[in-house]
Amino acid sequence: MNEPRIEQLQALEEDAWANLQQLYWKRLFHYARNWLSDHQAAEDVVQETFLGAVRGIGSFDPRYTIEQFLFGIAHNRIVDYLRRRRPATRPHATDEDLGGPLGMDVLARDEQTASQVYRRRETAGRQREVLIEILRTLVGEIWESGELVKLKVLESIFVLGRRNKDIWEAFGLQDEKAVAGIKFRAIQRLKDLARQRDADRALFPGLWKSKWDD
Amino acid sequence: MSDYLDEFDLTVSTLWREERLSCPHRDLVQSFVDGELPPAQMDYLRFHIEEVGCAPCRELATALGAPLAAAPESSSAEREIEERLLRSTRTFLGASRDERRR
Ligand SMILES: [Zn+2]
Repeated sequence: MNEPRIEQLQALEEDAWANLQQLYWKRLFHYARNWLSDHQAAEDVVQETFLGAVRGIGSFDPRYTIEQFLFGIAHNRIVDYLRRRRPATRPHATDEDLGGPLGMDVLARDEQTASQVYRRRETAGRQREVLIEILRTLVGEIWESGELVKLKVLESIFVLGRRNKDIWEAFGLQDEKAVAGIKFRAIQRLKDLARQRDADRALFPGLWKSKWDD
Repeated sequence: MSDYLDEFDLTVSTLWREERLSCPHRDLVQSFVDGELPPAQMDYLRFHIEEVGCAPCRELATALGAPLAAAPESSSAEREIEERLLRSTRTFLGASRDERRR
């Protein structure tokens, strides 16, 4: 099944949207499911993602792919759910923090003025680019080192949403702490790489206080 | 689980999927299919394709001749979710088209 063309989606053609949904709903659902403990919330996120996509498709930014567009919206919906659920344990968290290093919400916003959107997109685009670049570097370094169990650990955490205690045994590691050590060294490396590109730490507020350190 | 993760992790997770950060190069997938990689790499590709179930890599591996088990049939629960999603999008599309006409 081929991805529908943007023009078809922008024309709100029903078949194109049904096609798009068939292509992506499961991946979006599993993604949401990894972050939200309940099934219904994950389904709601996927539903809201497609409704958000219909609303936002008119101003689709051709620098992104449809996949990025959909995951960007889903990301925001998940953040909304997490915020709503979280009691006020982090009163210092500002919107800026929560937008994360990406400000991914700008991908699909409709209520801002054009100049605001433009400005935020510039910053978000830069953050995004740099973060992708340093993550790619990290993955490349792991490949070069040949220690692919590290990649399995990171992928388990980020893609499958698994926790330390569920990982170590399956990967033949000594204990939970070994998993924590791999995470810790990966985040340290990301910080090193980020520092080279973001000396005043303005670009990634989330990185410097990441819970990865726990 | 979610309460312990912060948004930075979520952002990395989103990018990891979107950008397919750990998807191996096509040549590696081919070598995996041919069983010609060193053990650690074979193990990683098996993990990525079968355990993580990366859809694009899985598709590629199958196209390159990997005898992977077919992706599991949609369960009836999944079909129900898909139906509900389709219905809601369709309704919303109709309303959006009406609004445009006005
Ligand atoms: Zn892949």
